[in-house]
Order: sequence, then structure tokens, then C-alpha cells
Amino acid sequence: MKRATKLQTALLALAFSSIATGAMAQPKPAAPAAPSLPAGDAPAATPPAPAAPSPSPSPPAAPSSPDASDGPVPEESRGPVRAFEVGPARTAPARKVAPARAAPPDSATEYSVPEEPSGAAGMAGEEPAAEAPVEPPARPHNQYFALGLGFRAGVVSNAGYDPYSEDNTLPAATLFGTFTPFSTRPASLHLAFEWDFGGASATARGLPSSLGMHRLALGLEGRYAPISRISFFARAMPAAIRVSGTIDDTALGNKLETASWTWGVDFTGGAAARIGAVGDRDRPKVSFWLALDMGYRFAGSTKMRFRPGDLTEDDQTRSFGEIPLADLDLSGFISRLSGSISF
Amino acid sequence: MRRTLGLATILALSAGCGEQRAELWDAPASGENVAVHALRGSAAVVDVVGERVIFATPESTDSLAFAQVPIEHGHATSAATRDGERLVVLSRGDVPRRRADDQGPSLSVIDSRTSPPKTSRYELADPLSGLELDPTSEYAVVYPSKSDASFVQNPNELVLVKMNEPPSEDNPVPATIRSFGGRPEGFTFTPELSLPGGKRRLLVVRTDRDVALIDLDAPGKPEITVKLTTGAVAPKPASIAVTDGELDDENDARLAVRMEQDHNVILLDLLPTPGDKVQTSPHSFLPVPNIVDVGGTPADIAFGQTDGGLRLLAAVPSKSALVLVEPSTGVTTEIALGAPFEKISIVTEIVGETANGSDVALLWSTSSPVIAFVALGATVGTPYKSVERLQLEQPVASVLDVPAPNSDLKLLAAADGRSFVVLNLIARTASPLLSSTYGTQAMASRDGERLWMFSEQSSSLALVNLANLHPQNLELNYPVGRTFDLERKDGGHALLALHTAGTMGISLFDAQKPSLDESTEYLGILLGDYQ
Repeated sequence: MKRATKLQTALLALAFSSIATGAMAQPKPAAPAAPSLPAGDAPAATPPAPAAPSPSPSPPAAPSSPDASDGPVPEESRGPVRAFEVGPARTAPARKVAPARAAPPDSATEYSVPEEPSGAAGMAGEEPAAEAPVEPPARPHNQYFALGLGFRAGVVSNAGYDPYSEDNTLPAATLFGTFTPFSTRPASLHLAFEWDFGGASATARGLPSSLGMHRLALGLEGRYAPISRISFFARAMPAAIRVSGTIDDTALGNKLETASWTWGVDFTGGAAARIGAVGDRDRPKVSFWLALDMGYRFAGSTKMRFRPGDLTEDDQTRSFGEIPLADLDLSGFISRLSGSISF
Repeated sequence: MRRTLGLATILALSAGCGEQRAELWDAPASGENVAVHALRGSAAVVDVVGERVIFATPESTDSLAFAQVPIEHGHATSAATRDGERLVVLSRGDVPRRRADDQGPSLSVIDSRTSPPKTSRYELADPLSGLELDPTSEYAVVYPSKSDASFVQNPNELVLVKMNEPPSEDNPVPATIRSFGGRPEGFTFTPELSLPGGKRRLLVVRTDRDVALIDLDAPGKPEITVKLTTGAVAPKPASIAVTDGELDDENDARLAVRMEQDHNVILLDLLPTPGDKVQTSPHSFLPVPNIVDVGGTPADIAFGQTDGGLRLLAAVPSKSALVLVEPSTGVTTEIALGAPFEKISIVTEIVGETANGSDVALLWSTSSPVIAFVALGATVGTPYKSVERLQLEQPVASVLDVPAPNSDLKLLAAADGRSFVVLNLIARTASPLLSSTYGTQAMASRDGERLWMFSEQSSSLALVNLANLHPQNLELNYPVGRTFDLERKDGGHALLALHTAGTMGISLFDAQKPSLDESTEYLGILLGDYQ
């Protein structure tokens, strides 16, 4: 049974890996297409030319964005920059959008506003007061939340794990999420939570045995996104871990059980690749990510003291002593392959 | 990037798949791989697959303390010393030894009196499987059993281990007995004998055709081998009886050898070494054989004291008689018993000697439902004063001794394991105890106050108070394979009922007031890690 679990795990991982590699291949043909998008296709992503005549303190940031060489602009990194740029435009006189539409398709150039106060307006030679009011530019969408689901593999070398597994692998499903309190680019800090639920099963001296593990973690994630499609992250996740074990002694007719809590801290780092998006490609409302991270888990040793747990009503009067199995320490190398959605 | 991701994933998943767990967990728990021994204060469970001994020690009425001691590789056999304080484990080691760190054969003596139990390890030269312990817990003999199958083996090679002394160059002591084609089959440790040259103990080795004597005070000396026949057909020695003779006479210690399917009993007088052999013999005594025909094949022999002096008693079922042999002359006298008896036990220490200072013998039979008390206090010529017979329901298959203060009681068990008799040696009464389950076993507590009766076929357990023979039945949740009446650390007594199914369980009771309400069960004993 354990071997089947392992095989399924490997297949799942390979499937994820295939998805990852396939997804990674997609953006390349898409990137050159971005500049050729008609402006009308993405009004929110292609705001009117900044109307603020006064030089903005932020314009230099746009050209220096790494996205300039990659084509699309990271939507999250644009958020604060745009807010800063566009904000003054709301109070400034409306400007014609035509020059902006004629601007080069490079979106980085679109945000290169320093020349516009003198150059663009002067070249147009039109009276600003005579122009019709222009719709205020759409506020760029900031993604504050992310939710993900993945597969986590842990390596538990501790001898206390032997009764429950034929090898040292501890597979688990993981549900996780982040909240971004302050949106900054390219580096940002996030609150993160994780819920891992997994386990293993084997035989212990001929008896069916199993281990269950639930891990609830809350911590911080630091993220660095040099380009819109790739981000690197590191996490420190203190956790509460609940470990439960069962051994079914069929000869004596009892199922021995144990459950206990311990602590853990995971330190992991990895990379995420954006594999899809909903909405404007440069400022999507929803993004899909595939991530791989690895690290090390430090965990407290937990007592595994077994006693019958499947007692009938008649058995309630019986008194049982505990049989200690080797203490279990889940510390070890961990890795996670996951998919997530951010919005 | 694509390759990196794929590689990282595979690495992450495979990292935990390479190492395999300890072999212990793959081996099913089985009674074949477990040996159980009763010590004075703990029950010892030898977990052969786990290469450890688990000690279960009662601390209070509801608490057991577990400890484990590792043992060497290749468990061969184990036994508890008679005083119940040490466990002796014989290991064959890693066979064959291929690496420098492979373990060699050894004998481990685990002292349960210390906490944690302390182990003394005696290295052996060869992997052997036979083990015999001295009743006084002073010596252990390791010998090749019939199951040992080395490429080349000397079946007459023995190793003598002094368990009270630490391992050294002189301990263990190897010894090889000279044999005329036989191999060791039985060992008898004698009590201290007054022999020419001083008091000493002997180890009597029975092979399938001769007898060898080893001086335990000087085990390095060559043994003395007594060839029992010069004929083509070698009689097989079946049992040994020993007497020290008169208290201060160092020249009247004797051995008697009973032979299988032979009317003869061989008496070995341990006399001073003759003058012509003093220079050549390393021993101060030599056995002088004397063959006595007792008129039929004896089933058992023992030395007993009559008012006419020391006699060898031989139970001869074919004659329904007890034959008394005057050891120095070989003169025999028969006592008619009226029934065939096969076992002899001298019970003088229990019932007290007769008025003239002679012994009382208890005889019983595995074929006839009767027992007999024979008072040996008769004068020569009329060598029986009284033979008192007691009729039973069934023949006696085994006899269980009861420790003091109820040593005047013996529990006689029938072969079916359902019928028991509590025999009072003083009152000469036989009180029946009947079990509803075949194969019921009985165990007497070390303090001599209780009997515990149980069966592997049943979940029932019975306490029999030996003061009034009142049975108290308890219905447990699992069949009971063994019971241990142990001294608790708090001074009381605990009863451990061992459930041998699965990974084993123990039900803990207060031995003096057993109650299900106050019992505690421990299940999964073989799963535990007690470090």
C-alpha cells in the first residue's frame, strides 16, 4: 500500500512537473504579441497617456523596470506606480488620447511620461480646454490574496517513523494562502498560512499501522518578483503539528491509537511561475501560478503512546496502560509542488 | 528552468524513498520468536526479532514499568537462573562473520536487580546452542546441541562460564570431555560434596553412552570419563542421583547412574586416588564403579536414609516395587508397593523425618491413579515400616512444588490438564481442583500463598488461596498464556497475566486482591520502545 502511495506521489509530481514545463513554454510566444494589442482591447491595461504636465517623481521607475526587457509589465509592480502616476492626472486637465494611442506599443514606453508635459502637448498643438473630458484611467488591479493547493513531500529519517512507513517519505497535501498587506514591488512581504494534511501507512510487525499528520502554520513570506511571470520567495512558517497513529492488533482485537501535538518551523524557499491569467494580460485580475519550493522542517519530538481507542460501551470501565513507541520527530528535508491562484 | 524544476521535484520525492526502516518492523510478531521467563521482580520477554529483552516490572497495583536491554545477534536460547535474579541469553552472533564489526558468539548474563538491568557479556569461541544453568546460579554450561551444524564440530566441547565472576582470560573455561563416541545429553550440578582432597562441586555430564565428571573448583583439570560398558551395545545413561553420604566422611560420596532399558544401576563411589595413580592423576579422587541389578528397569532413582543407613531407592514399575540398594555392598531389598510407580521424591524436609531419623519418600505414577508415601524408617531385614497409598481420580502427569510456608503442599496435575489435586504431605490428604478447560496450567506464587490457574484456550484466570483452597475466578478479555506472581516495588505482590496473541498484552492485578475493577491492561508489548 505504501508503495502504491509512493508511486501515485511520483506520478502526481511528474504530472505537475509536466504542467509546469508546459506552462513555462507558453509565455514566450505570447510576449511579443503584447505590444501589438490594440489599445481598445485593454483599456484598463493601456491607460491614456498620462496627462499630468508636471514631472512625476516616479517616471524613472518605469523604464528601469525589468519588464522592459521582458515585454509585459508585472501587473502588481505597476499597481503602485500607476497609482502614483495616474493620481495627479485626475486633477489635471484632460488631454487627448490620440497621441497616446500613437505611442509605441511598448508598454514601458507608455508609462514614460517625463517627455509628455512639454513634448506631447506641444506637438499636438491643440487647446486642452476644447477637448472633451476623458474617462479617468482605470485603477490598476492589485492582487492581495493568493490561495493554493499542492503536494508536499517530507523526508523523515527519525527511527520513530519506522512503524508507520516502509521508507522515509511523508507525503501530504497542502492548502495554503497569502495576504499582502502592503503591495510593493519588486520585493514584498506577505502573511502566509498553510494547512498540510498527510500521512503514511505500512505494517508494524505484521499489523496494519498508519500515521496521520495535520500541520497548521502561520508565518511570513518574502517575495521578489524580478519579472511579472517569475517570482522567488522564502518562507518562515511556525506551525502546530498534530500527529496521530493507529496500529490494528487484529489478534487481540484492538486498535491501538495515539494522538499528540508538537511544534514545528519550516524554512523554505522556491520559485513560482505564472502560467495563466484572467483579464488583461498585463494587469490581470486573477493569476495562476505553479511553484516549487524546498527547505527544512524543524519539529519537536512527540511522544507516541498507544492504547486501545476503539472501545465499546462495555469497555469503558477497563483501565489501560500506555505502550510507548519510539518518539517521533518529523524534522527533515521538505519540498512542495503547488498550484495557486492570486487575485 | 524546465529541467531544473523536474530534477528538483524528482529529488524531493525520491530523497525519502532510499532508506529502509529497521527490519524489526517487517517481521511479524509471533510466539515462535518470543521466549518468556519469570524473574523475581519482573517478567522477561525475549523478543528475538527485536534482539532485546523487555522487562515488565510492577511498580504499584496499577502501574507497570517497562525497560529493555539489547541482546546480541543470533539468539540461540535463554533461561532464568533459579534464584530469579538473572536472565542468561546465549547468542550465536553473526554466522558467518564477514565483517570486522560482525558479532561473535557470546553469553549474556543480565542482572535484573539493577536499574537499568546490567549485562555481562562472555565471549565464546564457537556458536553453540545448548545451555544448562547451575541450580545455585553460579555456573552456566554452553554445549553443542543437536541443532548446531557447523562444518566441523566437536560435539564434546563444552564451555563453562562462571556467572559470578566478570569475563576474563580464565572465564569462560573451555573443556572437552573424552567420549567414546557419544555427545553430551544432560548435565547434573552436584551440591557441595565432601570428597578426598576437600569439599567441591562436580558437574556430571551424561552422554548417550558414558558419564564424565568435571571438578567445578578446578575446571581446567581434565575431566574424568567413566565408560559404562565394554560391550558392543552401549547403555544410555538416563538420570543421575547424588549423595554426600555421611556428614563428615569424605570417602562416601556417591553417584548413581540409571540406564535406559537396563536392569542395572551403576554406583560410582568417589574414593581417594589410589597410590599407584597419585603421580599421574591430577585429581584427588577417582570414581569406582559398582554395578547393581535391581531386578527390572528402574524408572527413577534417589538416595534415601533408612535407620539401617544410606540406601539407593529404585522405583521398578515392572515389579510394582521400590528396590533399596545398600550402596557399599550392592545388596538389594524390595518393598512391595502394590502398584507401579515411576517417580520418587524425598519429602523428608517437608514432612519431617521419622522417629528413627529416616526419610520419607513420595512416589507417584503416570500410569496408575495412586500415590504412595513410604516411610523408610525400618530396620534392616524388614525394610518397610509403612507404605501409605492414596487413590486418585487420574494418574499424575506432573507435580508442582509449592514454596514455603506451604511447602507441605504439592499440586498434582493429570495429563488432560483438567484434573488437579492439592496433596497435603503432612495430613496425607488429596483435595481435588477441577478445571472446565483442557490444558489448564498452574503456577505457584513465590511466597507460597497462592496458586494461579489459567489456560491458553480460555480467557479465565483463577486464584486459589492455599490457606483454604478457595478458588476465585476472573474473566479476562484475552486468553492467558502465562502468569507471573511478582514482588512489587512497593512491597506487595502483583499478578501479571500475559496474553500471548498478537503483539502480546499484559493484565496487571494486585495478586492478593485481584479485581477486574482495579486491573490495568497493557496491549502491544512487542511494539513498545522502552529506552
